Amino acid sequence: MHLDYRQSDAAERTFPGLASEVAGNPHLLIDILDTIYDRVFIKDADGRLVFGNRAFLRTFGLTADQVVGRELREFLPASMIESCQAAEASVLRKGESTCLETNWIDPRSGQQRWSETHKAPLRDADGNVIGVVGVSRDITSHRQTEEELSRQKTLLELIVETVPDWIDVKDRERRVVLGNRAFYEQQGLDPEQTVGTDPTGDLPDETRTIAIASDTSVLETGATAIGEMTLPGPNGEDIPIEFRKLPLIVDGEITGLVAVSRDLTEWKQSEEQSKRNEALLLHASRLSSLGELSAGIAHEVNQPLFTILNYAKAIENTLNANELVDIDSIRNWVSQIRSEAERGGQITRRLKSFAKPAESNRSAVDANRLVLESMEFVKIEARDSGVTLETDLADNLPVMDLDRIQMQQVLINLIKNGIEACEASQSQEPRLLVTTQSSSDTLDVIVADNGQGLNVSDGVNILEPFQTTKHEGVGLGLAISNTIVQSHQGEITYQTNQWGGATFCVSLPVTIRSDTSQ
Amino acid sequence: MTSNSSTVFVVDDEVQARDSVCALVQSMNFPSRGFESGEQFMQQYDGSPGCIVSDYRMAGMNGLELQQKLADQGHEIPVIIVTAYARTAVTVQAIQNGAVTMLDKPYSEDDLWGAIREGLTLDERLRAAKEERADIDSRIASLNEKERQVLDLIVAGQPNKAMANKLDVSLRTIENRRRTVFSKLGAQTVAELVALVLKQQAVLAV
Repeated sequence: MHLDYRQSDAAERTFPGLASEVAGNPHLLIDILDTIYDRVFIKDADGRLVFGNRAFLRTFGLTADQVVGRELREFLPASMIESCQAAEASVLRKGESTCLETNWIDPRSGQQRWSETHKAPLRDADGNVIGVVGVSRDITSHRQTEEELSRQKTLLELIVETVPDWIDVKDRERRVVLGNRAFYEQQGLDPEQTVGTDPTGDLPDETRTIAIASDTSVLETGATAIGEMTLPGPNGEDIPIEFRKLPLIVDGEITGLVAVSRDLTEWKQSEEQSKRNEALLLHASRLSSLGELSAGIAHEVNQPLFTILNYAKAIENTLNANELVDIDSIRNWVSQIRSEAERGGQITRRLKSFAKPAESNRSAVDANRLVLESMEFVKIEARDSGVTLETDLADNLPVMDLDRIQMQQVLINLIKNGIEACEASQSQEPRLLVTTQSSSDTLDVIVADNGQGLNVSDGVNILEPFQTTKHEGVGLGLAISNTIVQSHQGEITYQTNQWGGATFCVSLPVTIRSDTSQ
Repeated sequence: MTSNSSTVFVVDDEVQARDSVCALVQSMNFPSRGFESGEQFMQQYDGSPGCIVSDYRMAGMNGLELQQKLADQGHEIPVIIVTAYARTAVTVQAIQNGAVTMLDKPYSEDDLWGAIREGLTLDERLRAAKEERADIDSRIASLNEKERQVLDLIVAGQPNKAMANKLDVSLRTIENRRRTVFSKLGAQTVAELVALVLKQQAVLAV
């Protein structure tokens, strides 16, 4: 606001919409000035007050009469006087309006306040500067807001600069608008040269493709993008990165994006360590299963050796006899020896792969074959215990992406438990039935026995470690099986069945079906 | 010596093991025949001579149960039990039931050969004894009731006079019956006659 009467045409301005007696009222101007919140005052050329509006009077606690002839320095805080006088002197001398911002301590409240004061020359009819018109506004709340904003901005910058995550902001053209220290340092970028450019140009092709695709997706759809990619490290190593990109929306428009990225190296390392530990545990438990099955395994390995030995002796006897050699018999026996040796090889291969300390290795697995393979391990135990093993295998099961050895481990454990439950109950016709079935959601492998059943106290989850109803064993078998099945996104459930025995169901989601199945 | 009409019956539920034992037995010049279970053997066995080589552990009836079942049905065929790992209790039971022997798997060829030889020899002796008993049975069965009374009194050591008094017949009648008894049983002396009766009544003496 510039109160320069010479430059305005205020002298000629009237109030055409008002009745003439109102417009001509000499108090009209004063009335108007009294209604505004800004402090308005007029001083003569000597710096003495000649007028103050109501807001002015209220601020300084004066009446209209008291104000005339006073000087501002009588009520202004000392800190303001000098700048005020200088400004007014300048207005009087140059005849130009000026604007002054001041702050001061309100003696009544003790709070700091800010004012913005416009001062304009007051001229007589001839245009001579005869005084100063001042309009002063309290801008304390405005300044407080600004200060708060500035404080928050500083805090935000501090946080952004301090976090180890990489933060960068890009515009719609995917140019860097700003980045935090981690962003620049980790990528070895110079902030000066990076701002305003697309820094993805130097990335390896695959990483750049992911970076651009995710940027574009966020900018076009406004949806958050989350993903992983690999950046080349300073020593040529791959640094796994997890990123999260959010749209920057101003007035409903996507104006850019904010990306927060994180170095996953340590996390991946600890994840790998825990996977290794798990593999060790599973391996230990497989070895322990093999130990428990050792009698049967010894028998199984001995069987082909026994057969081979018999045929070899038979051939020897026949060749040593002083008779015509029956070449057809010999041929047949030799071929038996070969196939028995192959069978022995298969058995040892199966044992070896089961005993091998392998990390998780998913492959396309036919559940029915898995069941039959697992039964091979326990058939001797079943025969010893007089338990009849039966299967009811469904056709057209989806081929699943499973860790074959681990799932074998689960089934061997469940079947062995069933056989032991039959032994414990001394049932008349002990039997154990393994069923496979599939629905639209799951593939189930169900192991049911007619043994002693589940004798479980309330609130006990036998799938948890160290819960056992057996005299031997520490109760880890089911817990480990449960861990394996859970790592396949599946679950193990159990219940007492109609024969009074136990039924365990391994339920695997068909979402882990193998790509190779239709 | 064993005759070639004797057969070694191999009972094992594992086909490869069974066939290989049959082959080995054949190579020893014994005829062999395989059976997949004790049940199958019981069903098909016609009492022909030989011996059995049976696995102990089989689906269905085990080797001991087969042995018991054969004894129950009056078959005296010798049994050789084969086991992968012998438990004392099983061995004791098998021997008590009259098994020829227990063989641990894998056994040596000599052990098997020896066991089969023993089994077949035993079978021949059992059969010979059985035949002799049957022969004596039929001879004794040819005696009528009165002749039988005389036989029992001869074996009991009674002189003719005492017999005549006891049976209330003449001494001459006793002498006639006595001749018929000696003739029908094919005995020359009282000692031979007593030996025959003892053989018939004796529990199997091998």
